[in-house]
Amino acid sequence: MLQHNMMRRRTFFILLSLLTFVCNRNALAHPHAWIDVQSTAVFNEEGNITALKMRWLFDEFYTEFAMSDYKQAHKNVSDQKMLEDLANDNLNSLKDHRYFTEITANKQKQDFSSIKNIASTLEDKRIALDFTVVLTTPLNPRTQAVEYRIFDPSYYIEMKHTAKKSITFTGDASADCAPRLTRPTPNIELLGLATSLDKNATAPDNLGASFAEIVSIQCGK
Amino acid sequence: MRKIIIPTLILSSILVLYLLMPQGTMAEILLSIQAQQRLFRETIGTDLRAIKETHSFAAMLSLITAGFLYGVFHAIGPGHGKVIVASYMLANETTLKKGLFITIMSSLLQAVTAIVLVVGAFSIIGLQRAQTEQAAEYLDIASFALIFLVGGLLFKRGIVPLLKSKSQHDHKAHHHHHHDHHDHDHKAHHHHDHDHKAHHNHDTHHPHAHKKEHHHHEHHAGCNHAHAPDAQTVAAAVSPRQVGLMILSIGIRPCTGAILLLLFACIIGIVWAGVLATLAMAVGTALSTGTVAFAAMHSKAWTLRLLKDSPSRVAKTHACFSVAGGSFLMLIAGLFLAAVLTTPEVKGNNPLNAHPLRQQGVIQ
Repeated sequence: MLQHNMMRRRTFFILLSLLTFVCNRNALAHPHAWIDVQSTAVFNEEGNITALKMRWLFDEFYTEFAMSDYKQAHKNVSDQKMLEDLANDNLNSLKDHRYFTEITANKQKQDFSSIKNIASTLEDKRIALDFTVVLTTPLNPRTQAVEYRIFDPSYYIEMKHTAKKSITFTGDASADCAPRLTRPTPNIELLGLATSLDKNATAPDNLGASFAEIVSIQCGK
Repeated sequence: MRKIIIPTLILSSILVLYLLMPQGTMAEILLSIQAQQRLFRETIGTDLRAIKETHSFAAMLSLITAGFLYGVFHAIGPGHGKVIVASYMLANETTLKKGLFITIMSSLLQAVTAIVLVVGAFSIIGLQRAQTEQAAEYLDIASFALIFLVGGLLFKRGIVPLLKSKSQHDHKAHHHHHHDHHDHDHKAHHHHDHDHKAHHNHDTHHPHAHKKEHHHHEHHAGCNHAHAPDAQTVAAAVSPRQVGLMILSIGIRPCTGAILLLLFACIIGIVWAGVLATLAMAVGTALSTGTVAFAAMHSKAWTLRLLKDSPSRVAKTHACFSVAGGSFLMLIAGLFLAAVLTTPEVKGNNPLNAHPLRQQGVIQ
């Protein structure tokens, strides 16, 4: 039975890759842009998590293209103003997408009350976007299983914690806590699917979730 | 019969091996392709900057290597007219030389198209980046329209003699020629030589290249004079104009990687380095596509060799290759055109305009 299932998956995949091979015009598969993420869980004095502070470092191509397009549209604007405008634009549109950030407590999705500490700079010639999402309800990682994922549901952009020490905590009350990063293990069909999507294709709902890293916060002991 | 079974067995064992390959292996391959895409962008981004800022020779070398490798490996993946080139090779009476000529010229033309588009339209004329990319999409459409046309020509080339030879057969059956013809076949080989020459003389008005290319057909013609239409099939090979059409159909479709690289190079102001890297990419693409073309031609030659003892089947196989290749090309080009013409994407309604991080159409 298992064998049979595998064969069917295989056949599906072969068909898919054939189709890709033949029909794909842009040849570049999803993702088309990359963001290196740093995230910091913000603890209050009671040891509850109140917010998630993030830095998104956009790739070289996104950076150059975004800035070039902006400069084509707006003449004689300072770099700082440009970065602010780009950051505000991005965060405004991200609002409807919950900032590509999903925080769960015992698997329940949590709401955000606001965002704060917005900043945009150039770091090593790449756009760095800093912001903090504030949780409506602070979460106690000692009594609840707290996890978060930062991902683009369409998988147009790949978002990963690439740097060492890219997951940190702030606040003394986090001393007994440690993050655990689970890398995604997308299955072959989804990988094949992502590989087959060109830059104009619309990904099926939540393709990105299968490629998302999961950070869980473990405290105590 | 055995001669058909052997290639079938080989093909099916490859398929079985593929099916039995551990699932993880394929996933790993796909993941590494994804990682390479990222690595490629990082590398060319860093290199172009280094060349601009420090005129680093090492960075230039690295950039050209990256472009070349991208050309080689990316051409193995989807796109790049590789399937198209292979189909052209299979559907045509093409010599290795002509096949490689088509491959190399189309890869080079791809590079030139990308350079003209980005340097000319974006950098010099001042088209917006999004418009430049849209122009590339229109070139895709033009490319597939031409592929459809070439497919149609190849199809016609194969189907006409197939139909003719069919009516010829019916005709013969009525006049009891069939038996005589068989006797003739079994006779000595000197007849064959004689007929072979006669065929050459008869065909003097055909392009010179032709005769060289089609040994088996001439052989076939000699052995079966009754089958004159089959011999003509073979004579009707691609004209230089059709070769040009094939090159154009592949070459006017610029590679996305090249466009990205050139846009980046133009934006940071180091156009010449981008052009060099694009040409290196074309060399890489020509190398892999050439290998595919080479393999396609050899597998065809191999199939034909297996049928050597049956000249009428060789001619028929040639015609069938032409019909199959032509239909395949029309099918894929038709599918693409249908998909494009029925979706509003190209008319500026790109679904990604809705992407939250798309700045005035920024995301690439």
